[in-house]
Amino acid sequence: VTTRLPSPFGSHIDRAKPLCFSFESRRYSAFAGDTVASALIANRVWTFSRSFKYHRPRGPVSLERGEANTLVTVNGVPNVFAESHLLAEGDVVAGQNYIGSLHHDWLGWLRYCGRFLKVGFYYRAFYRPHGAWAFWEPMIRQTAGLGRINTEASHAYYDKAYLFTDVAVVGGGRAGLSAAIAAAENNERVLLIDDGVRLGGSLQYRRDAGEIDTEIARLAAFSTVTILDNARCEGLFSDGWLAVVKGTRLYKARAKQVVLATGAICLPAVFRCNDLPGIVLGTAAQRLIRMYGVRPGNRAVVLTANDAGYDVALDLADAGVEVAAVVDMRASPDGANLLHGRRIRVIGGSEIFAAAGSRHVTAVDIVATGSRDARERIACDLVCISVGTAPAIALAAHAGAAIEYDGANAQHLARSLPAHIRLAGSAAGGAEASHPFPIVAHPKGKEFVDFDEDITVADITDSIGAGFDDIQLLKRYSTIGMGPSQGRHSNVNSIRVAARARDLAPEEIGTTTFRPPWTGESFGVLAGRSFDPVRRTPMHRRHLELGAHMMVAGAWLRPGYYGPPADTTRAIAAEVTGVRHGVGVIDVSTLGKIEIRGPQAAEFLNRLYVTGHVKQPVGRARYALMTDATGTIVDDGVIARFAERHFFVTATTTGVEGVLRSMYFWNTQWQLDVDITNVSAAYGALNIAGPQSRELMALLTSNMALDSEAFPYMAVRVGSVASIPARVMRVGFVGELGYEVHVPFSFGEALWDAILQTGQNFGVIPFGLEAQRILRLEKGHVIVGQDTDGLTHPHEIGMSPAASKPYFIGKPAIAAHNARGLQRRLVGFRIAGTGGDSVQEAHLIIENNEIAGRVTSCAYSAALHATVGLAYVRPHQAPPNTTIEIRGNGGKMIAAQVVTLPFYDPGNERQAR
Amino acid sequence: MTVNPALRRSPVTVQAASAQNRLLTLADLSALARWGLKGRGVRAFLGGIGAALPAASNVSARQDDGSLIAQLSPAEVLVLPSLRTGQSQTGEAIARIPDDGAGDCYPAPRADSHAWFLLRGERTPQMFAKLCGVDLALDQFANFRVAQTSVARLSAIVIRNSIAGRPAFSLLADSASAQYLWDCLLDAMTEFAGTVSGAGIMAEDFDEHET
Repeated sequence: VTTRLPSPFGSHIDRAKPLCFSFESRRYSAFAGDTVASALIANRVWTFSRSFKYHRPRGPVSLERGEANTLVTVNGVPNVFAESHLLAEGDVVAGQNYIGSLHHDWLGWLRYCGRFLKVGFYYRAFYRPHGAWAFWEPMIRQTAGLGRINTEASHAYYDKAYLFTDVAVVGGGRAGLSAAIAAAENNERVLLIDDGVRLGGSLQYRRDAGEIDTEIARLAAFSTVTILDNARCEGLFSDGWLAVVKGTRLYKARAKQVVLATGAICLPAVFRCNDLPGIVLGTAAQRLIRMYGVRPGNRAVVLTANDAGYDVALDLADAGVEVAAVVDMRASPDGANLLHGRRIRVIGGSEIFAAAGSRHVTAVDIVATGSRDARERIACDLVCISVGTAPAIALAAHAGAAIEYDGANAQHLARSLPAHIRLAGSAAGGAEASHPFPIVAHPKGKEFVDFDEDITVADITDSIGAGFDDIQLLKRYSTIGMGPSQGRHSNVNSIRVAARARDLAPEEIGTTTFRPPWTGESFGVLAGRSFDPVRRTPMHRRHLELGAHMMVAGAWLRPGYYGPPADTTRAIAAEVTGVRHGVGVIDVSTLGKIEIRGPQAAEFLNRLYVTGHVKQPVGRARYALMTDATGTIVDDGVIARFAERHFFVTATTTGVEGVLRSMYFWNTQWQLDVDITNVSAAYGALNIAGPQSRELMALLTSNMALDSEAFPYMAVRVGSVASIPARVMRVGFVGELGYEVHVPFSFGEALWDAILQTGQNFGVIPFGLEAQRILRLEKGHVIVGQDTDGLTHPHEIGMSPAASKPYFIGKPAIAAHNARGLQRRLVGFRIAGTGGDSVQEAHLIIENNEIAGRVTSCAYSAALHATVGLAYVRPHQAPPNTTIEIRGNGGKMIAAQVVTLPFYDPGNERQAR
Repeated sequence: MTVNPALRRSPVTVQAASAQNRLLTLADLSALARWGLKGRGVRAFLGGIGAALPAASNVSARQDDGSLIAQLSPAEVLVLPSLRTGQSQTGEAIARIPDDGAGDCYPAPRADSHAWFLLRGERTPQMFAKLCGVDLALDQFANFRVAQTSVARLSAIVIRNSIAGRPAFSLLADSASAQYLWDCLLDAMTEFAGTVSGAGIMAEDFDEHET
């Protein structure tokens, strides 16, 4: 039997475009423009889901987005609002929150367990006796939650974009359109945000709403107006920042002025079994009739407390629905006048005491207001409610408005709005009159205040009786307003019930906090397109071509080693051997690089670093150690002096930003005449290391003497390498003869190519971070951040600042540390035999069953035929040849011997030759 | 020293270049020169060589030779060459300043620290709105204005410089992150059917005297 009404009913559907979809594996027909909800009701399907707690059959109440009753799964995507999803051919829709089938839910028996499942029962049950939770948890998890996430679902593309406007208008009803037009006429840029597929708001379904198309066309004619329809404003934040979701995009809109024309939310009445499918808001019936051409029932009862209910009755009658009665909660309604002489029965001064039915409403019991006797039962398959509205003020509340209850109109209103925010239309109050207490408690309960969480009148009064009487506590204890609709339909009525239970006025109860999102967002929107910059060195492409395994270092990608992952150990060992016996090249472009220039450059660095730089000769480099004001080591690097007033500072890959911040911070106070320029990305850098590095360099340079006298260890030169302008420093981290070559970033790849090509005769090998870590450990070099921590001061790692230096940042703190005496000391240790296999970084040093320190670095050294490492130990354990105990893998105690650093080439002959 | 320009490589890999698109086109100009100058003496230096100085920070000024001077702060400028010639008299003057500076002026190696992309077409502001929180709408962000902002979470300099009446924006950002930014731009351009163009094609109808 068709429920479709002829045109002009059905303004949103295209009858020329029929389509098919399935719900719970049954096929149904619909039209283009139908939502899941309208199409199901057109097919006389009213049960969409099962309720959260009692698994009662539930259907739509408001047909406005944002109620748990209508959450369905569409094409595998859970928790889609049925009234919001426009159907497409072949859509597969299913109900939610049941076991078995929607109509035969195995958990349906829970509806009879209300007396055992009172509010807060889960706080008092399940945890006794000890261990009971482990038994109950799987069962509770099986039944709790809404929908099932499809973990096999493919990724969708969600992204974000900014929007900028002078005036943002939220809501495209009469008030919103008027505001938008007025702003546009004032030559403002206007952004109109509306959640409907068409503008007009309630004008699209209200009786005698009047013509709206002219205004819409007028607005659209302005070139300065942007209309975002089918879009939801989910939050309004400081400085006119609106979060707007349209499809799979989150718009971050900035507006100088915001007009909230969000309308009003129609509220349900509360009576026994008011959740039965077929009991809807009057506006829901009007939407079905006018927008979708659906006759919502055959015989209806209208419950009203204002004149709008009579419009609903007239609309129902026009749509061919028999209106059995209009039940008016007001004492003396002017029914005959409001119904324009239609022959519809009006029952004044009455209310619905209870609804009857199992899967759908079949009748309602009517009583005189306040009475519980002399009930009249009226058979019906549709109940339409029109007992009042609540201004939609959530966004105003997000922006900081005060929410106050206006007793005269029985509505919450937004007051004290920020200056750039205005309310317009029903959002400011003044929509149809609201009944102050449209709630009828029933001795047998089941009068649902909150459909999301199955909260009844008794649940609220019981919570208050248990001491949770403050509205915020009541919310959290009872969970009222915490479901998917976020209290959209329950907040006001719950406050009314709480007020009556506490013998207070609603304005004395206050409200809970309105938090975004207003109607709910998908995880896709929250997690969608984000930006995570990745930095690549100029040789990155070459590393990939050579099969490098890339590692993350801050935002950089660096080669860890070259070769297949299956052969990691061998690959790293080969790289170590290649550097020790031939020549290797490592990409060190990720080093931080800073130019310090100016007349007071030397003084500036001298104050910043522990090390001395005032007397540093031009053409020389020095190791540089930086501490903060607490004396803690924060970075290290090399400082090269290329001219009297020109220094080139290198910093650690991940520490350079902090070094720069420190430089700017301190020089703001010192006001020294220096220029600080971050050139980290302006230079690519390579370190050529190994006994044959000088021979290789000789083939690459023509204007640079390389012998140890002309270019000694820790000297720096400017010249060219492979015909590329270069800064060359004889420094190294790996303990071999080496040259660190810095060239402009854009020439980095060409330099790499030249070195590998020229170095073929020497068997030059690229080596990565892993090999470098072993090589530097053999040499006893520390890595700041690995071998130091947030408390390490220089003496603990054996670096004593020169006593003669009058000042550097951290000097007073270091002096205080020294006065207190060393608490720990970083030492080298060596483990003979195979015991070292069980030792890893962060393992503990144990002495007398107490933690005496920890391992900071550890690796097997092929050159030394032993496992070596660095560890913090107690000061008395620091002397060479002391035996320390390391708690290795599985708690195994490993003996290690403290040795003098460096492990390798103690005379520094290889590096300095 | 004279360096073989072939040794200079762009930090991005351009997969395929096609013709210009009136609505949105992207080109990698990283191979072109650009210069930076910092220090208290910057304005005096530029005035001394006869350069047309921008009126204020975050504004750029076109030079007679077609190059562009963008003032980033009272003590820092960025110089972009003429797209037709790749040259700039101001840039050449800056290049003669030694690394350790002169007259309170210090050269900054912007050709290497910053990649340079050019975006052109009417949809460019809309595309930028997906990556950048600054309103670059044509009626809000005047020609020759400069924004030092964040693009795809990357510190960046955006300069509007029209080309033949069509909106164009220079985007300069960390050269080490250039490939990342390039990929972000390609992604953001997709919905606008944006295309990638060669730098030379982009420069063909460049009007250096447009204001």
